[in-house]
Amino acid sequence: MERAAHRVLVVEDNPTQAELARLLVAGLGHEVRLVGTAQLALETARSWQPAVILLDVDLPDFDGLELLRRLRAEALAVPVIVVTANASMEAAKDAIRAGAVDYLAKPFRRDRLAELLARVLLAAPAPEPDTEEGPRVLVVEDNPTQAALAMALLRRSGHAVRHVATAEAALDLLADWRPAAMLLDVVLPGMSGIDLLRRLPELRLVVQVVVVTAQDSTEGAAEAIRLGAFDYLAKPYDAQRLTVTLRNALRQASVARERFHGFIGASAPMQAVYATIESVAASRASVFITGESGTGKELAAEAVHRASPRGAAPFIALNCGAIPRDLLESEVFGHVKGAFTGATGDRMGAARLADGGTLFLDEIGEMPLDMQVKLLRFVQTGTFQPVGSGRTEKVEVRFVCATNRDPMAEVEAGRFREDLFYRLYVVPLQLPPLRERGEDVVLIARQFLAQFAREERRRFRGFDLETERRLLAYAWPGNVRQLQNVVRNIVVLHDAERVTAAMLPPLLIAPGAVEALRPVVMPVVMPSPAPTVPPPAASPPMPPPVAEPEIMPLAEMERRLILAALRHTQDDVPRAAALLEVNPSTIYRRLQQWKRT
Amino acid sequence: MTQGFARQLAEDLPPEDVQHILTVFAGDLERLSAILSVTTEAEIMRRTAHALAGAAGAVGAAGLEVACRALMKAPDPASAGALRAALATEVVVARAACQGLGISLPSWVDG
Repeated sequence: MERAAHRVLVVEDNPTQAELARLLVAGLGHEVRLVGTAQLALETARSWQPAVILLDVDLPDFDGLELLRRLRAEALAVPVIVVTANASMEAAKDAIRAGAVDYLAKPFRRDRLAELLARVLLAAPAPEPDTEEGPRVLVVEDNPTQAALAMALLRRSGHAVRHVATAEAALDLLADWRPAAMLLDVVLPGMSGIDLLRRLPELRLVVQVVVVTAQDSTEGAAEAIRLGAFDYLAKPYDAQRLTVTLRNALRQASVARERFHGFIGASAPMQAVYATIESVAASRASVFITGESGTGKELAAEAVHRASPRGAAPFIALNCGAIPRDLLESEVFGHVKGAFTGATGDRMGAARLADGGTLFLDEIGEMPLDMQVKLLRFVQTGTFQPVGSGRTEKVEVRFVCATNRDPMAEVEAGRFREDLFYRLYVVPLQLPPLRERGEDVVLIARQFLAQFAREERRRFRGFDLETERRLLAYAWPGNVRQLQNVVRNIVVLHDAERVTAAMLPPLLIAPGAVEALRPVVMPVVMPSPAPTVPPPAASPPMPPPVAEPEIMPLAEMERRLILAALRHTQDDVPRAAALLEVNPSTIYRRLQQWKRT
Repeated sequence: MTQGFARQLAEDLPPEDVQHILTVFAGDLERLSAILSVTTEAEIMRRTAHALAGAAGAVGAAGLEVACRALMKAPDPASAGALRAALATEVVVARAACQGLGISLPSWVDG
């Protein structure tokens, strides 16, 4: 069978031998690079990723066997053929034992070289032409036998297949070839399959990943599914299992959901979130949601509840960070008349209200330690005592918690009880930041635009291409909440058929906006009436003039801004918080403080 | 060698594909078993046994796969004498099975 060119690295310090090898290998139709030292060979193996290395064992810096050991230590999977002047079988076997795939005695003949390369390269077939028909599947597998089997089975079932042996090579090929699916081994030399999955969102590709694991290793598979893989296959697998799994994955690719219980997003990380929510919904297991501010943790909690058999029962949400410490116990467990000053009657708490349903404890990391003890008892037994009552009550609730902090770090810092953490951290659900959700940014922005245009009675119907490009390029440190704020500001300040880049806030237009990875405070633009007459097409609308702010104590500036936002939103705290890009609890806390002073 | 060796492959794939996969396997078998026979490093032993187990599993060489997986659990090469001997036996069986199916072995393998 005729095969296309492969990359062959020749490591040879003798110029005559090197040139001879180069000519012979090139004459066989392969691409050749020559290096004269082992160190250069290591570097080239890493960067150029040859399909095979022809290695002279006697090199000036260190010998070929040492290079073999270093390649192996770095888990570089490239096969090495040792070239030796010593034709003894023992020398050759030493090289094989050090990890070479075969040997070649000098002076070597073209026929012997051709036979050897053909044998070694059998496991690394060259890319098929792009015109090959069938859904594209990329096989990422370092084990030659496994790779040969997967490719044979996939080609037989009508797929266009390419193979790479490392995750690094897969990253290179994914963006260019854009496969519909990827068969991904978890254990790979260098970057692991799991690490590759983590990198996929950067590429903004829709590729369905089927992870391949050893039969006795489901841990990697579970992690892969959490990271967005569609399914996993345990080795060894037969043709039928592979075909069915791939077919399901490819079908899923064509029906990636854009909406799910209030979420908008078709990206692979969100498909994984939807899949996790669906798979845990039926259980009673506690769900612990983590994610940066503005990623939709409360939405996820509600989705867990709505998708569960208790979906028709109450969903009670309590923001532990928004409630004053001395009121938190009463909010959770209720109180009886006379329990404390102002307790003029019995009052049910969130625990009782959520009976039969779901209790969502947002910002759980803000809960004081003494309250954590009481919550632990409640989680363990399902029982509690309302404040001021001697009577124990029992309820049946499912717990869903959320935090934007690193829960393990909070445990280690002693701010969160370890026993409570492990009671609640049964099913972790991590929400991806918006910057890792690719085209979702545009889907969500369009949804907000339609909603706000309706509310504010504007004509907007969409974004122009340049604006969408800028929305996609920006890092969104404040996530969906920040995007919502930006779109709302645009709608309030402008009126046109299409949003143009000139309408974007300065943060998205400024050079370096793409690198804005750390959370920043968005400038608060107080809305002003939109112009009744659209600006002439020839002159794009100018941003509103920004007056020099009055200098005053920062706390006073904060107070004025919060009160202005509340006035603007008719005291709608969540909406005011969204405009200011803070958590509603921040506003509640400030209002409490100001009331006390 | 179990009866499952290559049988599933023959059911799933045409003869030329089976021949190709077994040739690749024969190369893996010799290369990886050579490393396993001499290595003194626990991590290399574990990683190489893992790779050979995967290759063996792919072609249905169940005995070899089991021997590799047993070796993967050994703490270090020095204390794995019996497991390595058992693996060597399975390598011989797999090699014979390959030859029986007309697969040529790498040139440096002793007949």
